[in-house]
Amino acid sequence: MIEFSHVSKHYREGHEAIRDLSFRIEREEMVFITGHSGAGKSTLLKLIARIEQPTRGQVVVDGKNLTRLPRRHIPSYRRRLGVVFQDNKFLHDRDVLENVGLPLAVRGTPASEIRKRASAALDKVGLLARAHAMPITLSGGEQQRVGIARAIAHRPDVLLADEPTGNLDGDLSDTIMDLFREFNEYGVTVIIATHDRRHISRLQKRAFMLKDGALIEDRPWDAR
Amino acid sequence: MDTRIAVFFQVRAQALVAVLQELVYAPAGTFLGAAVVAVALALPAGLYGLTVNVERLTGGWNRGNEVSIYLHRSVTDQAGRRLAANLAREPEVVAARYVSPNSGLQELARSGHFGNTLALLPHNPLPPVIVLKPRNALSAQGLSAFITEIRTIPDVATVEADLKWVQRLQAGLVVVRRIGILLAIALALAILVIIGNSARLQILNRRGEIELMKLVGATDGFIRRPFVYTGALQGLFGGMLGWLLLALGESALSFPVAHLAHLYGNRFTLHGPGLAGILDLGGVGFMLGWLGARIAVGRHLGDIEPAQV
Ligand SMILES: Nc1ncnc2c1ncn2[C@@H]1O[C@H](COP(=O)(O)OP(=O)(O)O)[C@@H](O)[C@H]1O
Ligand SMILES: [Mg+2]
Repeated sequence: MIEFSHVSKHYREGHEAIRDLSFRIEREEMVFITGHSGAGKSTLLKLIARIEQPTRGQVVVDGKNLTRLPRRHIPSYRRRLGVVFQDNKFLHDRDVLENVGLPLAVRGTPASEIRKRASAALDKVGLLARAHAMPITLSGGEQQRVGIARAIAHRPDVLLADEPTGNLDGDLSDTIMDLFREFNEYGVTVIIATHDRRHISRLQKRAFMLKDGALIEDRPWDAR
Repeated sequence: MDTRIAVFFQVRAQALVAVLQELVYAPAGTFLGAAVVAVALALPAGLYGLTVNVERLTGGWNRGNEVSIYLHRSVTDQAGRRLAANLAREPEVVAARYVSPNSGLQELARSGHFGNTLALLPHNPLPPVIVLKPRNALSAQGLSAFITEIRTIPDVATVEADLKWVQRLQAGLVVVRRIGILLAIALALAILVIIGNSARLQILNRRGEIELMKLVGATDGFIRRPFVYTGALQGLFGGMLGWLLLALGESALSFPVAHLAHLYGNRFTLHGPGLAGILDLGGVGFMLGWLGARIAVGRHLGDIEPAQV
């Protein structure tokens, strides 16, 4: 359960990116976050991943108040998340398979288990053939899919995806969205920021609409 | 619990393997750091080795240095002999001989330096004396401590020993050794700074990767490990290299020094760092490298958070 209560985020040299945001996302829900560029979609995801801290208000995840989470508890909190961000970062001296296995490696999973699960995740995004390529040799779309594989390899409780299909063409982006839905059906809470409203109507899920950092619409699909 | 222990060793082994791989593929950086550590460790260690050798060289020079213990005139021959016998049993002493005033006068007469003058003396001016031969291995400090002890014996009037120059040399060695210690401290700090700085540069180079690791839930310990291992290995190799420098220095000097000693009729040979020294220097280098990297990484890792991901 993810709960925002009266959350505002003011970047140091900038205006208010999130204004007085309050909402609740239940476990095993799937939610889209839409809105124009600069509306605050990425900031909202970063607040959940405890990458940013709110200026005012509270973010509570499964009873844990992220604003008061001690520094030493951040790693174990983040291990429960799977995160796909717009610009994918990689370990450039490791191949694709090792990059996908990174969330498993940091918790000390045995090497054979890492290989097995990372391969399965790569297979899901259709890139098993590139397992031993170096990340730098991949196209933008392939890098994005590797980033998605990395976010799901350790079977997170919560999946956060920021424009995960931004670099992908129509068919492939549908495949990836179906993959997210499949995960959600297995019980993963999925939150996806996208400006592409087509996915919302196709998957028929709850959607937030942000405008200048404020929540102007929060409707379950059925209410439309 | 078993799996926890397995994980404990596994993550460390993986980090070590990664560091060693990096070292094999790009040895230049590690070698540079190790070379600096080598020189910084070899300098004070060499100075220390010098003092040890000088001390060994002069240790034997106590040889033949007899100590004369003058007793009060009132001490009887019997008491003097007993005291000499007691002193001879002390561990610091090789031999102690009692010389009564009479036999002293006879020895003097036999030496022939004084002609008839001795016969003209109204009475024997010599006090009873114990001539004591200290153990060669005894240091000047040990000897002077022993002499101070002898002075407290009630029958003893004064003690005479030619210790001055040995004491001066020993004091000189103490000064040199102090300088060596100060130098060692300064250079140890320099090693901490140098290894720490190289760890800092590595961290800045890998900023993006560290942000990514934090994002996927890596603990600070996990991220820190490769940097700290690299620093410790640099220190270890540096210490071993420093030992090699000292061993080379010894082998370059040992023949000329032995030759010089031979010309002076001495059988002195130089003592080098020895095979065990590689453990000492390697160990010190390892700890300094570990500590330097650990401090630097601890200071800089906190600054990096995955804000720009
Ligand atoms: N690190 C930052 N520093 C300052 N301003 C920022 C930062 N990140 C985002 N912003 C600003 O906050 C607002 C919301 O940004 P963002 O959350 O990225 O929106 P979106 O993802 O919907 O495009 C924008 O005006 C953006 O310029
Ligand atoms: Mg954005």
